[in-house]
Amino acid sequence: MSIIESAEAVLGFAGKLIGILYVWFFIHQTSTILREMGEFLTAALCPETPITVFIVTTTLFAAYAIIKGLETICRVGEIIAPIILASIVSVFFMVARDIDIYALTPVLEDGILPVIYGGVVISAMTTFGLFLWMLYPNINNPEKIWIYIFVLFLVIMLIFIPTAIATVGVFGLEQAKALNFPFYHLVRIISIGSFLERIDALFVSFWILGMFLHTAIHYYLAVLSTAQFLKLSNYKPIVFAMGTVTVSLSMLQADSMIALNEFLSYRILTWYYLLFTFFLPLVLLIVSTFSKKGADFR
Amino acid sequence: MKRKYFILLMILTLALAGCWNRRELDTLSIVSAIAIDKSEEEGKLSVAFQIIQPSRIKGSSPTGGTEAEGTKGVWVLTSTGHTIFDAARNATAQSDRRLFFPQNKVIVIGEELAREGIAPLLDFFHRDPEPRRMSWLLIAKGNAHDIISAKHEQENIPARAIDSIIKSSSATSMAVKVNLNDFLKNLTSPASDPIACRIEMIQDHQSKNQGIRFTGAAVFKKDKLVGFLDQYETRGLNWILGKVVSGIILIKSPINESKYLAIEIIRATSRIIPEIQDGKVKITVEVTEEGNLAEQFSDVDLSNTEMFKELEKRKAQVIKSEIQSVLKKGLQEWRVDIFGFGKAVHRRYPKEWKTLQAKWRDMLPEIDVEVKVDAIVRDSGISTLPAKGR
Repeated sequence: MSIIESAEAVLGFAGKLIGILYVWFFIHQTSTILREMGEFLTAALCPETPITVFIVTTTLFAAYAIIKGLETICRVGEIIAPIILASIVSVFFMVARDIDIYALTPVLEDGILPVIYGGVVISAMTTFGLFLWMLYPNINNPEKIWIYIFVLFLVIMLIFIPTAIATVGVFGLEQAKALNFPFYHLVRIISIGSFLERIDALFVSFWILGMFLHTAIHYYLAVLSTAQFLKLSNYKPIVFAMGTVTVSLSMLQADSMIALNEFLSYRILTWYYLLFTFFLPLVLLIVSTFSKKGADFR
Repeated sequence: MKRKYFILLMILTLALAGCWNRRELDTLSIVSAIAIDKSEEEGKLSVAFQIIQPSRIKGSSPTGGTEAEGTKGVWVLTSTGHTIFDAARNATAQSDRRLFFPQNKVIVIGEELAREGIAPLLDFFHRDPEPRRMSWLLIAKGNAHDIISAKHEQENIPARAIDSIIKSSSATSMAVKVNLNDFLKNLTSPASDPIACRIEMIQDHQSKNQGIRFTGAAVFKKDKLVGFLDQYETRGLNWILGKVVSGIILIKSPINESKYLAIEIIRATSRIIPEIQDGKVKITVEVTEEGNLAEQFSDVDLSNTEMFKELEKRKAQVIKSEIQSVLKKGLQEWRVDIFGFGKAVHRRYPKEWKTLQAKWRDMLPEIDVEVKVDAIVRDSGISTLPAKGR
């Protein structure tokens, strides 16, 4: 059972409320991702292009993928994911020469506590675990889900750690904090043998693929959760309707990139995400453990 | 069903209508260097843009014949404004094309302006998406405009010549190589002061042409220029920072004091070891250098172990005095930490650093710096005895 269905099975009407929170969460996530992507492309590459162009075209392509079904999105993911991973890892090696490893020292300057706090913040950011929960009925080998979760966090770690080391090492702590798109800046400084340089456009094209996938999967979950919430037999009729909602929400949710970043800063976003990745599931788990409801559903 | 796909396809073609930010090469003025000086008008900047002229870069002109002075492949466009971007946009009034910054290699700032602080000038270069952070940052001794208008014998794009001079400066290690990213890194770090490249105009006596010379370093206190290091002091700084790659050390011949020997630096490394005892900071700089005897003007046989020991001693003395001179200037005279001492203390004593940080600048003159140099002479080249008439 997915989040929406299990919440209802466990809590009844109150479960509906939790369900609608998750519907909101996926819609909002989709629109935030679209907006972030649009802000990146307009700020870094095409300042004069209206942000709507990027948001609407991506939404249209994503809608097409969703109409084709989950399998299509996953197959596209199988093609895109290795490209993205390879591009991130290759950036790390291409800037390795410029990384000043001493910029990372002193290690554990203020003890271990800030690191643990940072770990909580970062783990709250990984909302990808919710995908698995939403898509649980579609997973072929449900008994292997723990392996999937483990691999998921391993891959995220393998992406986060080299990017963090590279950005802090190259720009120094103070500069890395001040940059809007640190990893994009990293790609821009790549210069190998003074012939392999200015390759940022190439990498941006890879990331557009990734952003498309990111949008598509969130968009799919938004559509799917709405359909489940409304008990529709088929989600396809609401795909385009949902598209108009996410596009307008992404345009309206913040006045500027500064306002968007204020919401996306760890002070606010961590708690917002923790509500969905930790507290709400915890409530469901506690209630279902005590009432023994939903134990046989899985 | 088919019609539905057709409609979808039609919608998708809207995305192919073209890009807002289409830029054709023939509508752009490609900027290769920027020079910033104070304007004669109060509070304004005078900014010179060195623009590449693609049609003139080609070796010989298609019409044949020699061009009198048109061999220079660039056009220097000067405009004024209250900020850099203001000046750049004002420049479009004089140019038929839009200025385009991604190919910019060099930023030169005039001495007078640099003394008033350059942080505001650099904002444009890291905020705007067009310029790159890897541009070299140079401080001109005197006027910056002259630097990018200077002519070069081998390159017809001055910016490319400056770029190559900077890259080849490691042959002497008597200059520092600083790009925008390095500068900003040191400027924003609470434990260090930044340095920048120094460049100057020189007069060539024979051809009466003006040329540029790239030596030394520009030293900043926060973002304000406090002074320049000469070439030997700069090498002293490079010894401390471990950035000496190659170069020549001149020492007096042990037997004939009036003659010089040249020793080529093969490799060098350095370590900065801080120590805090009773609230006093002591720093040990350890330099290990290895070199070969490259040339001698005296006519004696130096190829025996005692002589080599003597050479090593003398060489270590030279290195030590170079380091001492820059330490004196930096710590006592200017009170700047361009040596990375603050960072070293921060790394080793993170707890003590929290209290030291605020008064670090006042402590600089009192820091006890010990310099330990381990200089080795390995080789005497491919011959032992000097050529000498008998």
